[in-house]
Amino acid sequence: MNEEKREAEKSYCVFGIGEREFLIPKENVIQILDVTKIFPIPGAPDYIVGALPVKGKIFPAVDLAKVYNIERFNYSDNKLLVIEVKGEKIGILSDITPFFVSFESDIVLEDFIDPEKLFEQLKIRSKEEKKDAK
Amino acid sequence: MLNNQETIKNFLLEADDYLNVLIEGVEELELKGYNKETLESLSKVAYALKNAASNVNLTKIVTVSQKLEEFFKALLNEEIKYDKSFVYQIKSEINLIETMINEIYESDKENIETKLLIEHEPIIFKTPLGKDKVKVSLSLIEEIYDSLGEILVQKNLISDRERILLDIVSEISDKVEKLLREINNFSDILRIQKQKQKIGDVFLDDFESFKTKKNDESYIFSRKIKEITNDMKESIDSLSLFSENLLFHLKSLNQEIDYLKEILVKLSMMPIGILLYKVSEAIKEKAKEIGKKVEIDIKGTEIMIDKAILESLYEPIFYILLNSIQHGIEFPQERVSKGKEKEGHIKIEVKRQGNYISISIKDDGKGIDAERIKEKVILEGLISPEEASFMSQEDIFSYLFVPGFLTSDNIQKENGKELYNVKKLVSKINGKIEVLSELDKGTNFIIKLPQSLTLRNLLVFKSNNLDFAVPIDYIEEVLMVEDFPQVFKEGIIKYKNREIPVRVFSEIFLSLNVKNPKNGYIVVFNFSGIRKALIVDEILGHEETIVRSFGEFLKGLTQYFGYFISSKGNPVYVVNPLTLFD
Repeated sequence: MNEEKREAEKSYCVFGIGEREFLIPKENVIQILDVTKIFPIPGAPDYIVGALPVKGKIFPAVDLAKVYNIERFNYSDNKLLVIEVKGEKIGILSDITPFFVSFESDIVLEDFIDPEKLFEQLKIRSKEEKKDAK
Repeated sequence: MLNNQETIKNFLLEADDYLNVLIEGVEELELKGYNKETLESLSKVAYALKNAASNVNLTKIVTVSQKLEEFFKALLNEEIKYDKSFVYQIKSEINLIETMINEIYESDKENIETKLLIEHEPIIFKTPLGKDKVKVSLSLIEEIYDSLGEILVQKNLISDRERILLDIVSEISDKVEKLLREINNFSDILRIQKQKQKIGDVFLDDFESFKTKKNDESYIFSRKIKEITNDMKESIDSLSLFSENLLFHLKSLNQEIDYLKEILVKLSMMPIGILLYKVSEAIKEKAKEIGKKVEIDIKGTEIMIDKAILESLYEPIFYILLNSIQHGIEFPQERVSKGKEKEGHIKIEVKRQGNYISISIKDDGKGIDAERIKEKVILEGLISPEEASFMSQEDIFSYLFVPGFLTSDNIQKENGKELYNVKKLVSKINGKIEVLSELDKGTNFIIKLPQSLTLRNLLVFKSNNLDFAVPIDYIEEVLMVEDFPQVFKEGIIKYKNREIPVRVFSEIFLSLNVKNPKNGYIVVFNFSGIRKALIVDEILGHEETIVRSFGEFLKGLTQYFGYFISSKGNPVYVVNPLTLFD
């Protein structure tokens, strides 16, 4: 019985933006970094706070507060939650130190983020693509 | 049925000729060893045989002759290293074709076809092509690139540190020399004083003797300091020798890395001949269709080019050649009446110029009338007649690539569109295209390309504390803002009889209002004859590096080609200058 229960559980990573908390599947999480130096990328939308150079490559850091219109009261203790989606690394700013939790898989979660959907929603579209969308 | 037999008969006659040429060619190859001329004619004959056989649906002969043709081309492009033993293998393949043809002589087509189908596969192409070769996947090469990029970053870091070290060493060396000079002066003074004292020794009183003692002590002290400083100077000298040595080693490391880069770049390269032969054959077919005769002469087939570039070159070269046979080269009668040979000639010549490749495509057709273009340019209001009189031929012809230009002109109705496309395609692979022409003598298109897309020569500049770079390929000149005081007011510069529109980088890219900086630079770009200029704050220098492309997430930022990480560890965004002026 116990084992079955464990199988039915799913692990998530909890991170916070302002007063809100979000969940993301644990398997997408690569690492949690302290926010050190982020370099702005001119021309990128405002939710992309910049690029983080790691080992000769860069990955973008996004601030979901700008996406979900969340007001922030304190900026301290910023962490960067690095997730991997579609073979690419993306950093998400978190106002709390992210931690892991498990829930039974049949529970419908609020504030759950599907990494692939997030990727599609946030990825930068070129001018041509924008025109096509219209 | 009779018809069918008739065509087969024709084929057999034709095939006999081709076979003879093939046999002669192979004998020549045997006699002379590897030579391009023979191989070229061999590949042409094999191609002709293939076509003839395909007309009568003798598929087996088609495959054998096609494989022969491909084999000759591979030898020609040095993809396969020539070996004497090939002659016998080629001979056996030719024998195979010969027996097939002989069998057709003796039977009717249907039977032979089934017979030929069960024939053995040609042996020659099953032998591994070059024993010393392995297949390498492009992803592996990319991985090595990544690692090499990291090595470059680290090397740059060490070079930077080394420069700092050298500065420090030379500064210390300066200071030590100064110190030595001071001590020398000081001890000189002491010595003179001592000498003076010696003269007055007889009159010594107590005070004077105390002074002498004191002076002696100072003198000894100064001698000691002098010795120590001399030792220090020696140490510093050996330190600077050491760092000079280090610099020497770094330089040889540089050479090694450069060599490694070259090899890596070569790994993903192929000889350009593969493409040029393919396009030429397609064009010859087209020429036949429209009733023109052309000879295409290709030189420099062995020159290597990035596979990615090679693939994107087919279209532009095809269109240029198509342009030549459609609009350039005249019909045979017209050519004869002009005193030209009946056959049109197109010369394709590929040359390497440093890290660039130039492809010159020259025909001996009717050429383009520069005066007519000039008239048209003035008529369209693109330039004034005064300006036009200053324009160079090159500048006038560059209007051929302007979209929509010339489309209403009856000389070249479709050309305008086609040439615009050619330019777009060439720009995509960071190339430039120029056209030169002489009326009734012919037209010459020159494409200039980087040999590799991954390793780029870049000009690095700073704007608002962020580093950016642009490929040097597009840059014609860098000028100083202070020499053009009117540039911010007018938005153009007048330079070398040209009016060049100027934009400010930090305004377009960072939406900043620039307060007319006095110390900026004006970077003049040349996009296939069209010049645009960009003002940047500070130029950091030149860098040859591997440009990484943005991933899927950032791919929409089409204003950038990609980025690289500088030796200081910050990203440098590589700007696509074409998008700056949209």
